[in-house]
Amino acid sequence: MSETVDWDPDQLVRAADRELRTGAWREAVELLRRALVLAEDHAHAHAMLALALLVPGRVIGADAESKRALELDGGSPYCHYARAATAFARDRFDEAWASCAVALGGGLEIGNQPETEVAIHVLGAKIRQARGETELARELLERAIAWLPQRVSTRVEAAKLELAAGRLELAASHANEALRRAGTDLAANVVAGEIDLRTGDLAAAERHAQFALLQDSTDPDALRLWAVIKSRKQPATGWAWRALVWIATRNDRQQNALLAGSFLVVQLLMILANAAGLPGVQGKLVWVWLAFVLGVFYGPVGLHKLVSADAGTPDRSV
Amino acid sequence: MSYAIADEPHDTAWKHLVVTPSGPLLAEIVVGSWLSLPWFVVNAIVLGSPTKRKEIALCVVQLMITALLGSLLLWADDRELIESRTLLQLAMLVIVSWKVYLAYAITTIQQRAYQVFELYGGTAKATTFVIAGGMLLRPYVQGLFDDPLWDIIVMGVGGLT
Repeated sequence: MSETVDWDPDQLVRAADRELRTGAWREAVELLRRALVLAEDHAHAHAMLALALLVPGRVIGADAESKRALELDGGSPYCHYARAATAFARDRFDEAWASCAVALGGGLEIGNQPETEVAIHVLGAKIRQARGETELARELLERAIAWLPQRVSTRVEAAKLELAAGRLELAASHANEALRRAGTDLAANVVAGEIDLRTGDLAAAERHAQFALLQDSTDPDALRLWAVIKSRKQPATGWAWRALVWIATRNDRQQNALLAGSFLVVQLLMILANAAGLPGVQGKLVWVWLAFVLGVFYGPVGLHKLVSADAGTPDRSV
Repeated sequence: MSYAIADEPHDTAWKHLVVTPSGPLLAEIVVGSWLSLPWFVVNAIVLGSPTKRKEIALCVVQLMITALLGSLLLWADDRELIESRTLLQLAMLVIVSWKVYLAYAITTIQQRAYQVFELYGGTAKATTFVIAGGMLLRPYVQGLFDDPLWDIIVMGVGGLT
């Protein structure tokens, strides 16, 4: 990045935009930081920084940046797009839609990139779907596909939407199109596996799940698909797979809630057992809780090793 | 000079002492507040958490409200308003739930800065030995004052069952 030393803020923002399109969010963040040191009131830099921070799930930072962007330029569709993406990540669907509607209605200032327009349409479709407006979500996705038919992630979203709506043939057609363009795409394989599962083709679903796990053996969606396949194939041990995957795919906050909540439940049960004259139960409950805690903390590593052994994929858990 | 993003930890000289906030939470559950609350405060400082004032304030709130609830419980127990041992244990559980809930809230807030710390390659110290040491020291800390309010404020679930 040494050749960017003398760049002005707009050049840095454009460079960050290019990095972000390739998924290099760290590089994009660093370029935008430099842009903001030079021009603290650069609304687009704040907006783009919010979008870059959302890639690794930094919603608090993204929230502050997207708010600042809108304060600086409340009429900018791009700033509204960043605000909509942030609000959506925080499950604030009404606020997300209000901003997304503005973004959809205006042209984009930075390079007028069709990719960004399409990304706004896809975001709009996700928000619409989250609000239960399937038909309106479908319209947005159809426009996005017409605009850039080669964009795989749009096809994946369309497949997810149709799968959720129960239109399996349409879902399969989108998934197949996504796989035709990018056969190793993780999300495309997961959604194709889910469609196969729904149509009862377990072998095909398993192949897709294996393919997805080959890309990333820790991906929560791929793991959930694998667990469902295992539970269909081996009903006797299926519940254990599902439970393990459920525990292992919780985020830190949910894991802590499980830890604290299960502790309080066990304490309550111990008091009630004591009151019922069952003192021997207390010790057993403590052991059950300790086993649960171990499961919460070490479940993810154990699960990834199990999946790697079972699906024949490389173990990348450690 | 660099632009500071709202969720980013500040630079400190003690980053090597950072632990995952789940450690102090587990300490609250199995050891007690005498270990978890100072640990949350120290972790907020060494991590350079941008929300450390809020985290420290929540530690103080946990301590004060627990003292208030504990005093209330002991007052009711002295006047024999609580009729059975089971009811007393359930009342204690309400206080423990409050303590665990606040510890969970502090963990959740601290976790945001910790995740950014991890994202940029930060590695955390293991918490197992501190928690194990805390469990060994627990009876000595409990014995520092012969006062049930002390037990309620600083202990985990020692006096519960």
